Formats: sequence, structure tokens, C-alpha cells
Amino acid sequence: MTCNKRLVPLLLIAGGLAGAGCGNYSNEDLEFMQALPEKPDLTAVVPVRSAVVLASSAELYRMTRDVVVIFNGIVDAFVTIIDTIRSYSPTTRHPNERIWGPFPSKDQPGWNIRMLMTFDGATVFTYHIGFRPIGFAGGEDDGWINVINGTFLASGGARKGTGSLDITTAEAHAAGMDPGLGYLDTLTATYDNHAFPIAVDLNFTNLPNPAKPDDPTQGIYDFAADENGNGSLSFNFTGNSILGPATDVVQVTSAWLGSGEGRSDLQVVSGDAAGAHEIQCWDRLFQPVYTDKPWSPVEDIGTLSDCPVIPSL
Amino acid sequence: MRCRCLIAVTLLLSAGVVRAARADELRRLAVIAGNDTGGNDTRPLLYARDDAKKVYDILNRLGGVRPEDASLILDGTAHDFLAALGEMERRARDATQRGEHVALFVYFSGHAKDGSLRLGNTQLPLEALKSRLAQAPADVRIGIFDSCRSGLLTRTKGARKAPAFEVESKSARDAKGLVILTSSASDEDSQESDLIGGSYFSHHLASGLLGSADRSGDGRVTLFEAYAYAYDRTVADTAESAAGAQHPTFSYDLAGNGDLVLTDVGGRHEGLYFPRAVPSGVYYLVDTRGFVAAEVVKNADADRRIALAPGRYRVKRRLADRLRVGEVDIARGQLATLDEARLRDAPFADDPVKGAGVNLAVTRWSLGVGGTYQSIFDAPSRESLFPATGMLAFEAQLHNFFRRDWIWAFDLAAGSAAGQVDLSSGGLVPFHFSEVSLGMSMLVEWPHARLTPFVGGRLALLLMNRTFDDPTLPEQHFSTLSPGIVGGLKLRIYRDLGLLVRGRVHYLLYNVDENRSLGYWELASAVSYDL
Repeated sequence: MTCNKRLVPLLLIAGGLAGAGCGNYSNEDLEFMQALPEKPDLTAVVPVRSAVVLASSAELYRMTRDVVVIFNGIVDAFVTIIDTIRSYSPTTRHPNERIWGPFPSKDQPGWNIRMLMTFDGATVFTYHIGFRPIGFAGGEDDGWINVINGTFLASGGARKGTGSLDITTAEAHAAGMDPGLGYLDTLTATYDNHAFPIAVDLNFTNLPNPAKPDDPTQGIYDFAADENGNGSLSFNFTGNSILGPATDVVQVTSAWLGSGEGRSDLQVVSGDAAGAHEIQCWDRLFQPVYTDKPWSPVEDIGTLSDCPVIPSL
Repeated sequence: MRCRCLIAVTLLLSAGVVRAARADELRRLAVIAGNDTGGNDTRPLLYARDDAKKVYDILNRLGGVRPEDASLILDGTAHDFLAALGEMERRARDATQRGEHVALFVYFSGHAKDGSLRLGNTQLPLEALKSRLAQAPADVRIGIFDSCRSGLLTRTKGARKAPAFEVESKSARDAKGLVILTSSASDEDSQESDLIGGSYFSHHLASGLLGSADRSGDGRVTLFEAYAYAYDRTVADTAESAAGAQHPTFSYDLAGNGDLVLTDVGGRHEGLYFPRAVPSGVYYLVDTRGFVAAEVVKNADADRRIALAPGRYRVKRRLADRLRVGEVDIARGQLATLDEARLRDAPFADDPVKGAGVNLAVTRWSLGVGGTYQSIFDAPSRESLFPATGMLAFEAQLHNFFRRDWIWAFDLAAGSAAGQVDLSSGGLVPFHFSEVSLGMSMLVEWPHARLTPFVGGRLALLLMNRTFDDPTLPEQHFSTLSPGIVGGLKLRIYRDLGLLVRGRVHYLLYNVDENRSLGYWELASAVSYDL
């Protein structure tokens, strides 16, 4: 019959195509993506009134703010890598496992980059970002130099939980690859944002910078912030930061209220000025209200009672 | 060819006939009705209205019926019909009292069942109608009924199941009585054809009235010439149909003798002239709509004149191995002459009508627009994967393309909804879902007077997408082909306008996170328009 002849190709096409589906429409992908840290999860925030820091602002406030910039710069360096990968959908999906890549790394010519992420099916995610030379002849899981290794323990809510992240660049450098993290040798970051106060701790070691031999080679940052804007940042530098031949260890602990008032305590733990200390407090406009600077008494102002009372976090 | 049980019954009554006198010597009155519907226990006809309009036009143009003396009732009720008939009876009575001779034509095309004409949901008993015609105050009453089993009307005195009769035409003015023509015998269905765009009987009757039936060549088509022509052509065309041959019948009860002239084609100065030299055979004159306006049997030893209305026509002559086709323009007030030499050869594949082996179904389009609501059966998938979605839908349907009452439908729908993913690790991720659906369906329908149920299968291409409030999450998309079944009802609101309610059940294979067989349902309503 004529009708049958007309129908045959349609039926063949329909039958052949039925059931074919494609796309990246995945709820489980979201589970994995929500376990990766974002910049806001790790970024330190201090009270500011404007982008410009007045010269009259308290010296240790300015130092705290400068350190926060450094702190956030470190965070930005490795989260950018994660964000770049996350902007794509997973390449491979297995039960409780996702793989992004391998993709040719834009900033590491000749190298592929891959992120492998696993989920224990309950709350714990782990991820590894590694590099491998393009054209590597081994198996798909062989030869990867993992530069970033992280875990996340979900505790309810999108991106809410505790996480840790370790960066090690030595193996990459040994293989002749620059992971794009400057002189960073190792970095360990832990964060807990499942409830206030949130906390982010960074512990890094740097490789010596021949052009800047006095730069810190080791640093420890502990940042905490409460819902009302109160916060604290403790940082510890190891480097030749004080004039003299010795390597100095300087410890600074800053704390502030959401209104802007704050206090910093500086302590030279060891080195050329071991034992030296400074205390400075500032008002909500960041102007110093109390300064105790024993090696420069002329700068001292106010009394300790002028300092704000800041609850510890 | 299709066999529709339709029938158009034309009953024309009228004394339109003319006795051997000229058409203008009689006062001619006409009641002409066509109704595609016949109640809920019948399926709608396609061309009953068209048949009626065609006869109405011919009687006005060629039959001497003044426009004010003709009543055309399309899709009317029995009440409408009887009211029009009563008005014409009143006029006939008045004219008769003035000494005029009056002819009354009654034509009906539509359903007939169980001894009654069907006009929509109303009925008109045949016996009562026949009785009324017999008593109508006109000298001559002619009833022409094109409907199934209309031969019931002629199962009485004078009934013939053949055209072999003659009426003397010497004293037409003296002819008085009742003549009834029916399209089929009392045990036969009457049939429609999509390609000629009407019922066989009315089509051939109309062709005959246009001049093809003028056997005598005097430029006038008498009732008996028209009937003989319609009989021969109807029987020939339906002989091999699935429904079997259809035999028109003829009944007369005339006092006196007289040939009844129905149309005066010789007095027209526009139409198509077939000179004697034109090869004999059957010629089809196809109008710009693709329907056969006239079918002309050209004999070798005679010329032929067809009183077509002004316009452009395609002319087709069918030979054993090819077609001869061409075009002819008929200008108002002018008689065009067919020059067969100007026709060109064409393969049978180009045959617009009447081709052996050609699919007789005429395709037509209908368009619809409405709303659709779609929902996945599985609750978890509906809540966090593909949320229930309302969509705006557009549909185009191609009817009778593969075969009669089959619909090839194409639809496009688009909509959006909001949803949220409940992460197993905790937390909610809100998203905005959007979907575009492209579907193709193959449906079978069962047309009835007002309700037309349909069922079939559908294959849909689903293009789904979602974006997240969280800008770090990439857009997600999924596309798949989804087979399903469809069922619904179409309610005819007006002739070309309908309200459609439809349900669909589909299968959806989701295969990103895992292979998951899902199903979804759709409910839709739409307004449809037949082109």
C-alpha cells in the first residue's frame, strides 16, 4: 500500500532514535560541585570604610588589612584553579565519582589537567587536581601529579561543612612543571563554615625567592568571623622582616567588632628583636585610640581602657 | 475513491423544468439544503454543503431560478428546511393564483438514516417529505436527494433503477406532477470522493447540468438527460469501489407529457466549447481549488458546450499511457474554445484526479494553539529533576496524507517552571527549568457530528535546560527522544473551528546519573482551525 511505503522510513527513524538521550542534566553533579570550596567560603574580611586606607589609620589595622589582602590572594590562586574546572560539567560519571578532564592546561603548556572527585555516599567528598604530560602513555589513572588534594565533610546546607585542602608543588616542580602558584611550596587550608563563627586556617611554606630573600618563608593564618561582623585574624610570619641578620618570627593577633573598632597585638617571637611587642587599638573610623609601642614611646597614645572589648571567637 | 455514506440527496423539486418551453417561461422556485452532519450516530460528511452550493449556483446561473426565489440552507435543521419549503410553497401558491406555471425544485445533500433525512441532530421523515412535495402547490415538483438509501423515496409507483425512460417533450407546459431523483437505491450507500470534492451523484448531476448531459445538442439539459448522465457516470465510477456500485433511482408521477428543461446552457455566452474535432473521451475540468468542476464526456461525432463559471481551469484528458493536460481561461461573457493540440503530455504521476492507483485521500491542514501541562509520574524525579511544567503549544495536523482518517501531526511546545534540588548531602539548590518539546504524532480519528475521538502514537524530542541561582554552577541540559501514546477528543464548535482536549503518556529514559526509566503525562487543550 502507498501508505505503508510512506510510513516505513518514518518508523525506522523513530525506532532508531527512540531512547537516545544526552546532556549534563545531573543532580549528583550538583552534589559534587557543592562540595568544592568557593572564594567566599575561604576569603577573610575585615571592616572597611572605603577602598583607600588613610595614612592616619592605625598602623596595625593597616598591617592587618594588608595581610588580609595577602591571605585572600593565596586563596584566590588555588580557588581559581578549582573554579576553572568547575565551570565545566564532569567529563566522566561513575557512581559516587566524577572526573573533569583531562583537559589541556591553558597555563601549563604540554600538560593535561584533571580533577578526580569521589563521594562516600553520605557526607565526605575528596578531590584531587593533578597534572600529567600530554601524550602520557600509561593508564588513565596513572602518572598524575596531584598538586591539590582536598576533602569536604558536608554537614547540611549547600557548601556548608568542614573542609581541608593541601597543596604540594614539589613533585610538580621536580617534573619541570610550574603549577602557577609562585614560590608556594606547601599549603594546608582548613575551613569550617557549617555554623558561625566560621573559621579558615592557612599554613604555608614558601620556596626561597632569590629576588626577595627577606620574604616570609613560612606563614600561619587563622581567620574567624562571626555572624555580626566580629572577626579575628592571627598571623605568624617567619622571615627576615626586621633589620638584622637573624630570621625573625613575628606573631600578630588582630580582632575587631562589626562596627569597625579593633585591636592588634604584635609580638616578635624570635629573631633580631625578640621579645618586642606592640599593642594598638582603633576606633570605628580606624583611627588609633591607643598605642603601646615600647621601642618608640613617642607614638604612644591613650590608655588600655580606650580599647574595645572584643569577645573571643 | 472514497465511499462515504453520505449522500447527498438532492431533491430538487421544482418544476424547474421546463417543459419544452424556455426556461424563462416558468416561475422557478428552489429549496436547496446541504448538511455535513447527521447526528451523533453518524460521521460527518465532507462535501454535502459544497454539493448544495454547487447546485444552487448552477440553478441560479443556468436554471432560470432567480436569486430571490432560491433558498440555500447550509448545516441547517429540519425546522429551517421546512420553513424554507413553506415559504416557497406560499410563493408557488401566489404565483399559481396569478396564472403562472410554477416549478419547485428541492435538493438535499446530507445524511439519511432509518427512513429520515438527517439535518444535524434533527430528522425529517422521508415519507412525510415526499407527501408534502406531492401536495405542494406547484405544477411540477422535482426532488433530488443525494443521501444514503435515498431510494426509499422511489420505492413506489414509477420507480426505476435505470435511466431508460423518455418523456415526450412536445407539451411541456402541460406537465404536472412529481419527479424524484435519488442518488442511490434503498439498500445502497451513497459515496463521496475527495478528489472530485463532492458526492459522485451530485458531481455528475452538476457536470450534466453544465452541459455534459446535453445529449441532444440543443443547448438545453433536461431533467431526463441530466438523470441519464448522472446515472451512467455514477454507476461507472462506483462500480469498483469498496462500497459497491451505487445506482441512482428515478420516480415520476406526471400528468401529461413534457420534458423538463433544467438548465439552458446554449443561452450562455461564457463557458468552454469542445468543437467536433476535439478527440473523444472524458475531459476533466479542475478548478483552482483542485476539485473537478465538471466532467465532460466528449463524443466523436458531436461538439459539446459546458457552461462553466468564469475562471481558470486545468483541463485533463486521460489516455491509456499518459495524460493530456493544459489550462484554459474562461472570461466573463466569453465562450472559450478548447484546442486539444495545446494540451501537453504528462505522466500519470501528475494526475490531479481520477488516477488509477492514486491515493484518493485529499490532504488538508489544521492548526491549533493551546496550553499543555506536563508532569513526571515519579515524585522524586518530578520534585528535583524535571518539575511539572505548563507550556504554550502549537500544533499543525496533516489529515488524510497516509490514508483516510489518519492524521500526521507536528507540535511545538515551550514552557518553564521553578524547582529545587534537595541534595543528599544536605541543602537545597534552587533552579529555573525550561523545556522545548518538538513532537510528531500519527493519529487515527473517528469523526462524528460534533465529537471526534482520536488515538495514536507520538515521538517527541525534548530539549530541557536548567539554570541555577548560584552563578558558579554551570547550566545543565538534557535532550532525548520520548515515545508515547496520545488520545483525545475534538469538539467541533463551528464548521472549521474546534476545541481539542488531549492526553498523552510518554516514556522518558533519563541516563545521565544513571539509567532511569521515567514516564510522564500531559494534559492539553487547544483551539483548532481547519484550513
